[in-house]
Amino acid sequence: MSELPSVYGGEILHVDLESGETDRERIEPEDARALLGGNGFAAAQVHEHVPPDADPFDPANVVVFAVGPMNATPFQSTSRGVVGFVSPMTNGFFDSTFGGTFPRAQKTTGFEAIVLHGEAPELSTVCVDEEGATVSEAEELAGLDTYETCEAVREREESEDESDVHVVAAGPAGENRVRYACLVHRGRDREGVAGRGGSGAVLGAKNVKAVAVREGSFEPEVAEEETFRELTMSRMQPLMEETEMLQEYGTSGLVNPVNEMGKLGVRNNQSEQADPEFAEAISGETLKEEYVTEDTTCANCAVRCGKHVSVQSEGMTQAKIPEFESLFGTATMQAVDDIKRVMKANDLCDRLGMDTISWGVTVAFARECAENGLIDADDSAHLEFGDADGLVELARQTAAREGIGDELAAGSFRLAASLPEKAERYLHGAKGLEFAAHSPRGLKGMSIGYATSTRGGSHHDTRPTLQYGGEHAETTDGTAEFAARSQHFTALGDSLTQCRFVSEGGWGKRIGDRYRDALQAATGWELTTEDVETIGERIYNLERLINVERGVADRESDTLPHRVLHEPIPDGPAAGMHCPPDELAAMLAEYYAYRGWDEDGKPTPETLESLGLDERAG
Amino acid sequence: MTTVELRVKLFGMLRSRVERRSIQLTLADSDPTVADALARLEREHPELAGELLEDGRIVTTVTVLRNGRLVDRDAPETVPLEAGDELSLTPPITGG
Ligand code: SF4
Repeated sequence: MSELPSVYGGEILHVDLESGETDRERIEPEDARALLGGNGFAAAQVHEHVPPDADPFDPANVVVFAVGPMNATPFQSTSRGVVGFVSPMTNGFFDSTFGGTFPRAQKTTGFEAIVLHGEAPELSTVCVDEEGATVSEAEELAGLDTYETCEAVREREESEDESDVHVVAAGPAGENRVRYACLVHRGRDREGVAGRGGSGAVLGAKNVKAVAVREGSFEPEVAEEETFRELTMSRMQPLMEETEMLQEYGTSGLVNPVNEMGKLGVRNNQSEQADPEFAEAISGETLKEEYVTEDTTCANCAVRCGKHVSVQSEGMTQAKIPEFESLFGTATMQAVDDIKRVMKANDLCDRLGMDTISWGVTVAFARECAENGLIDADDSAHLEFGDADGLVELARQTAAREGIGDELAAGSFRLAASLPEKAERYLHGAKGLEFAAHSPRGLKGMSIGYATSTRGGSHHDTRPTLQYGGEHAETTDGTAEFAARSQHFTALGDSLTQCRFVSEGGWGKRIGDRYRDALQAATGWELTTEDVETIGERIYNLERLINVERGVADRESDTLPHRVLHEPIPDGPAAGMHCPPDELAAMLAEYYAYRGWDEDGKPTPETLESLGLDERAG
Repeated sequence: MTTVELRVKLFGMLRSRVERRSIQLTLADSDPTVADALARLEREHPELAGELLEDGRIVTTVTVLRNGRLVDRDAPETVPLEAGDELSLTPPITGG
């Protein structure tokens, strides 16, 4: 193969946390062509370095920060980064993405991926610049929240050199190994949260409090500049038109529309439509009218979907607005419509470093268990649906692992395993990860998408967007293929590290010629649209391979929880919908056949060979 | 002539344009459809003119639900309305 395209910085940086030594690995052109970057690179690193039997908290796990080929080019919003690791929630491969300015700064160092190996002997920070990385002891940061940590590390690093430093940090929850602890980046203008899967807990287990990157001098060069610029310009208007709602309200604008459809989980998903006044109280419209103070944005994005809110009575100024998924997890699922307290709980989660979806759904699960007498009365303080103050208190207790918080910190699946068997009926998630807001009962594409996803209950494997527009929401016809191809789309997007909102809004909700044209102009590779989809398919199969080797992906684990399989949505516009076991089994059989996997859900040797993964599979 | 009364709920940018959360609509047409209701809204509320329909189709910047069920944007004239129906006009779902 020819040379590595000049959009790539060219190297992967390996950091041994124990010794502080670093090693630079050259990126092979064929690896870039096969896996692009972002989650493709992250999956390759995890597959190569993490033994299949290593516990996620074992030093043998790695944390990979990876960016995509078009990051820091004019291609809109390729400003995201990927954190790849083996998840303490699913025990499988996980990639969690985040925006802001850190990923773009990483790109300028020339390191497309930074791989943290081992465990630091004491609480440390890792600072990366274009020369390599320094691991420094940082005991003084112990217990600081994510924002304080970002600030402290940035000040410390910037005092040593003039160039800008960008930081991503774990909070107390990460230090305490709350299994769904996240990483938070406080950028110059907006926050970026690698929310799902427990990246903060894995970093905490490695004794790393924060990772910083100092801006470097690498500038990606696209192969066909004129074509690339024209393509990018031509998508600006459609992008701005399609994302008007996000510009106005951020994702909180989804609360009312999804609730109107009767597909928004309420009271631990016992029903799927909140009273309209309830939805109104926590909606994007209300937030904008009463609490939003400014718009915020990631690098190179005109959409500005980020918002800051201020709530005087809660002592909150310029806090991050709760996203739609968080409003589901911490408001409708809790039957709490006190939006000020909901915002407080969200702000606490951001500061303490916890995924609002997994935490919220775990609390809602515990609340339903308590309602049914499955949790001892002594442990049930704050476990009543509707208890807004309790919600805030539980956020604090979970991060500190105090009282019931210690059990909530394990996530709903592990908590269920410690309770009477009946508790399993109330789970709302797949493969150990709690579902995001998009209904596994009311959207058929999500039923099969969640059941087969690499990440479990993630809405960034199979996307819900087209389903809300009427495609594969209520039919199983062709839905297995739809879900699989949507997974290719997201794997491609996460390897380009393009913001999903921008790609769906401006470039298309499926892999199409536009993506091919842009990638071709950026890299100079000769590509067909099928080639581009094959990249997504290859990455998805590599992720599956990791999970198969780890023993967490097969026919038995490709399933949905009891309520989704056996209890139809009780009322509202989507009443009667669910995914009965026969329906799931039929979709799974179709899905495996489409993918070229065997009856147990494992990629066959022929499939791996056709995707060029046979050597990796060994 | 029979009339059909319905409630139209507005969300997102349409709500800011009209500065109302809902509109009560009375349709006197025989066998009215969603297309009739949208055309009527455009006529009665200048802020909505051109914001709902284009060549008989629902514009891509609006999602229309009838009693919570998605209305096919290509064929709003095929969806009949009955007394007491609720139409929700929401932004299309992006993001999340
Ligand atoms: S749409 Fe929002 S999340 Fe995406 S890049 Fe722009 S500001 Fe960031």
